[in-house]
Amino acid sequence: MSRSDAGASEGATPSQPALESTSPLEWVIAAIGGLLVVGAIAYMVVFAVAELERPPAVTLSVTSVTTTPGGYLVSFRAANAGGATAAALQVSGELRKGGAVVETSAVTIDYLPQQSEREGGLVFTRDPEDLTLSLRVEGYSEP
Amino acid sequence: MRPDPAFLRGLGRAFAGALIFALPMLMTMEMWQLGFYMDPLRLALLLALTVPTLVGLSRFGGLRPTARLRDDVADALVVLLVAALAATVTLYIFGILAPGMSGREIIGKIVLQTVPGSFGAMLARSQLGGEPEGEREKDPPTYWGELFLMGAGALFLSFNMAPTEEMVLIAYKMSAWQSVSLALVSLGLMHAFVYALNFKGGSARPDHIPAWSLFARFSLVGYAIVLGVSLFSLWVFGRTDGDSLKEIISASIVLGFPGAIGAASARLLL
Repeated sequence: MSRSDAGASEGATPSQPALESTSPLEWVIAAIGGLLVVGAIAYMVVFAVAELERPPAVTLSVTSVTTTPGGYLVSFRAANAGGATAAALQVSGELRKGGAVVETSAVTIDYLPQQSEREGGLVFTRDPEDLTLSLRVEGYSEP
Repeated sequence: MRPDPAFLRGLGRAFAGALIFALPMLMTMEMWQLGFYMDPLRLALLLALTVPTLVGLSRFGGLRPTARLRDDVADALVVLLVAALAATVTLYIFGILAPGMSGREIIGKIVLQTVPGSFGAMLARSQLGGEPEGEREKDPPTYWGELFLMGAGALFLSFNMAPTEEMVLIAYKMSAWQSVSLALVSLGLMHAFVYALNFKGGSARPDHIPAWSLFARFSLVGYAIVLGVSLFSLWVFGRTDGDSLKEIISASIVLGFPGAIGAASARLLL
């Protein structure tokens, strides 16, 4: 790979095709590409420095309760405000009536990346409207 | 600044090359997941190392016969942009990029797919035709150039497999003897490829080079490069984290099998 500038004049020989030099348009596109590469690297480095030690921090919020043929579907959104991905995230929901648990349901979310949201649903046989509904995260594993 | 039709054709070919080579990875679940959970510093390092590798590939193949190093750099950056575009469009259509995802997740997914896509885009010229080989200005690669091509070939094939769970799983399933056998088989296959290519079409080398010299200088050194590339790929994807030395060596040998094929046939591929 020690060609250096020796090739610059080779295009002059008539038997060989002229070596193409870079057009202004290509330089513009190359510059955009270069900016993107530098930007992506900088973003990742900054992210690594800023977020490295923060564990996943998951909050759950119920988005809707709908009646389906299979039961009452409680749709929820899980948001991870932490700096690491949670894998195999266990989400469980409980229906209580006056302190006593009458029904539980659970679901696993494969991956919840850092700073991102995923949606899921829990199905109950009893109507959550009449009872107290609570959702919580039981655990996760590191990917 | 009228666009040159040959340049536009080159862009189209690069886009096609990026798709052809990156599609298996664009449709691999582990690649999406690695995009957000892999160590951001390793991802940054991978992207940073991709640029000089592309410049080297442009020297030996690439979009067009280039005159100077800075033209190779321009080609490398153009190809990266094309690959990033191809990855973004495809991932968006697949629904892998969606609202509610963080910038980190989206950028990570695109960057990770840009690496194999840019390789494909750079190879598009030699793979998908273009001018006949005879018309092209092509340097016969030096010894170091040959070793570079071997490394690039190994990286290209091992990148396809390193993200998958199967590499580590196969390593777990193999006994020590099976690992040793696989290493010997890889080395033997590599030598067979190098030997065959040396006499068929490859860069002209004097016929009187003894076989042992060819073996030591190309096959053996090549396989060492392959193992290094395999180890690097596994490490980048976090597949070595927390594993014992025995498992890391074993997984490198497993990944080195496709890597050896890629390295030995690099001169055909690239």
